[in-house]
Amino acid sequence: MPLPRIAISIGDPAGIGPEIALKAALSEEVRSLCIPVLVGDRGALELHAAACKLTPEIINVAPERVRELALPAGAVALIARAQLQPGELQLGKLSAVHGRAILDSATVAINAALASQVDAVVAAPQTEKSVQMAGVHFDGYPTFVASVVGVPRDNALLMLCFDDKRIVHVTLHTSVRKAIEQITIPRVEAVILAAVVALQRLGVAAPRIAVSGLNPHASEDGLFGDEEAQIIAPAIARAKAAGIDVEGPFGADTFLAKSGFDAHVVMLHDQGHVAAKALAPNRAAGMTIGTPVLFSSVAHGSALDIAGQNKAKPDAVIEAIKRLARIGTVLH
Amino acid sequence: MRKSVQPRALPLIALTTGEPAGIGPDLALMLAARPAARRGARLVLVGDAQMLARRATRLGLKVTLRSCAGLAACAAPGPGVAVLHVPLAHPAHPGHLDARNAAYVLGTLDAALAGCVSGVFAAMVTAPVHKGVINEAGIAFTGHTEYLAEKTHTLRVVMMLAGGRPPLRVALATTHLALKDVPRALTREDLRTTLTILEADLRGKFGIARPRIVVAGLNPHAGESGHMGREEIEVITPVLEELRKRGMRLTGPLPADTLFTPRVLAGADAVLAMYHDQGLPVLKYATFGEGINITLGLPIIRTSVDHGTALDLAATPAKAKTADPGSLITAFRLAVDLATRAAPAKRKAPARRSKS
Repeated sequence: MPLPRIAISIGDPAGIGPEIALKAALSEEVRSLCIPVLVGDRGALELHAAACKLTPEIINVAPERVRELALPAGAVALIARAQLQPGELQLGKLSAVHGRAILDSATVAINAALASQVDAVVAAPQTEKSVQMAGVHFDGYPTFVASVVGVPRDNALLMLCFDDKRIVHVTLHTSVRKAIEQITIPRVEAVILAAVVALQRLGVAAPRIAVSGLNPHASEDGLFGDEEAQIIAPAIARAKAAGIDVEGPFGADTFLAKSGFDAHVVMLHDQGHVAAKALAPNRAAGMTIGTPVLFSSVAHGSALDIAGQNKAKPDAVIEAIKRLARIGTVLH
Repeated sequence: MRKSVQPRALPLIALTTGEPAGIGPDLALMLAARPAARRGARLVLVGDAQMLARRATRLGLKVTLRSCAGLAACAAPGPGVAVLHVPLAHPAHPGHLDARNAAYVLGTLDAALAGCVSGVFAAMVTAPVHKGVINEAGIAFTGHTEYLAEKTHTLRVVMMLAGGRPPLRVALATTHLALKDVPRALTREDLRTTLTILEADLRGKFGIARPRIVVAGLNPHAGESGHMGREEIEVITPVLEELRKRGMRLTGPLPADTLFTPRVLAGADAVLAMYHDQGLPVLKYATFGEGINITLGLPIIRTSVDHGTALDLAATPAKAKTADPGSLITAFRLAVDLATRAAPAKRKAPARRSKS
């Protein structure tokens, strides 16, 4: 069985992205799990390699050739993009050029996954300010992935991953008032289904899903609010009828501590994010599910202050790759 | 002879034993059976004395109980742990709710409250009740906090949960109401009141001279300058600005997921979350069953467990899978601390004649 191919977009060329992408691609652990393929500007990658005193052979590969690629020891593969003119890269700085490079690398990697040239994408850290300077409204990777893939933006869902927890959000970057309106039976059912599909692709054959309520204590049988009875429970019943192993609605304040589930579905941004960031500071990575492309960002930012100093550790990239690496066991 | 037994009378702390079909009586008895856990105060259980005695036998707990008919008897010295007797309407069966005992459950709260108001009890600690069965009995009940507020004619109380080390304290701007009603309930006036109560009780009850409070936004990313909701701009920020001018040390509104990180929490005495599920999941996860609940703004001191009645665990013999008294013990310890701090004014607990 061939190893899965995982594209690693190198993120903000002015940050630590290229450095940690390269270090991850050279890690024995990563290479035992997948064939990593970097995506980004060759000059930027070479500059970071030199700064880290790394001298790997960098093999340019066209996306349509990735499947037949055999990676010699000590070499890394790169889908090379011409993003930066000589002198345009300013380490540690914000700029529109960097912003465009970030989105170009991610777009190329996503398209490679959409064309089944790679099996999944890991994105090294971006710098949102630079993306904004490039004139692009960036609202997190899920909507970006949806726009590149060409599916409705609401199809793309954020699954926060840390330790053995995976938290899927029914609503995300919207006000509490609007979020409540967006919670419908078809929406909740679709999110449960998307979680199951994603987990199966990640190698969990029969995923178990827990679903939160919207109201305090999941409304305690209607004492405060009726969305559990009117929306969430019926959606769970429909998913069960479709053969899915799903339970809930549970009060959101206690259900994250419940073990034995492969994913926890929450209704609101803060129901998932607060616990994730508090319990796993700088360890919660965002995976985009619900589209044909499995896409993961890493748990921390682009650390402009230490760019090009050989100080950054690739652990978060390696962690993201390990989460995605079992994808091959189901796909092939 | 009364005067010599306890020269400097320890504060009396009432513990309502909660839903009789649940683990409340079990946890109360576990506390009663651990003298070290109840040091520094005199524990008074509030509930049906016979039921508690039988439950102790069933659990194999060695504890001497002394049934007391009224507050005066509770305050008088005597052997064992005092039980302020409130009779059950019908025999309680562990694991099986009975709506006919709903009035009994509320009766234990009334009895403890009367003792607090009259100054016999320095504080009350509450074991879990089952809201559903009380409502089933035809009594509208949304929780201890709301019930005690109404009974003490307190217009506004604030629910705060605490736990962990260093202590994380999370107060709630809104508590047990449907999420769709939260944005409407969050008015400037109400938020101002909440923060005023929180600040005053951190100073008065907890003895923090100039408390630092971190306030969350309502919406994701605290609304991100109005892109994801306007409550931060229209309600929260103006109130914070106004109260800062009065000298309060307030930070926010911050995105909730930024707020609950060690760096921000390190500089805070308490957090104000805008709704229940914004503040409590992380607290409950982080405190591993030792979290507690305290009602601020009441004229009395009241602390509580942060969990439910766990009907399935009730009356399980001691060596089997038993309920964990961690939260109840922590709640009791906090009540002792707060009562002791408040003690100078109340050290002479008057064993006044009470009508109940």
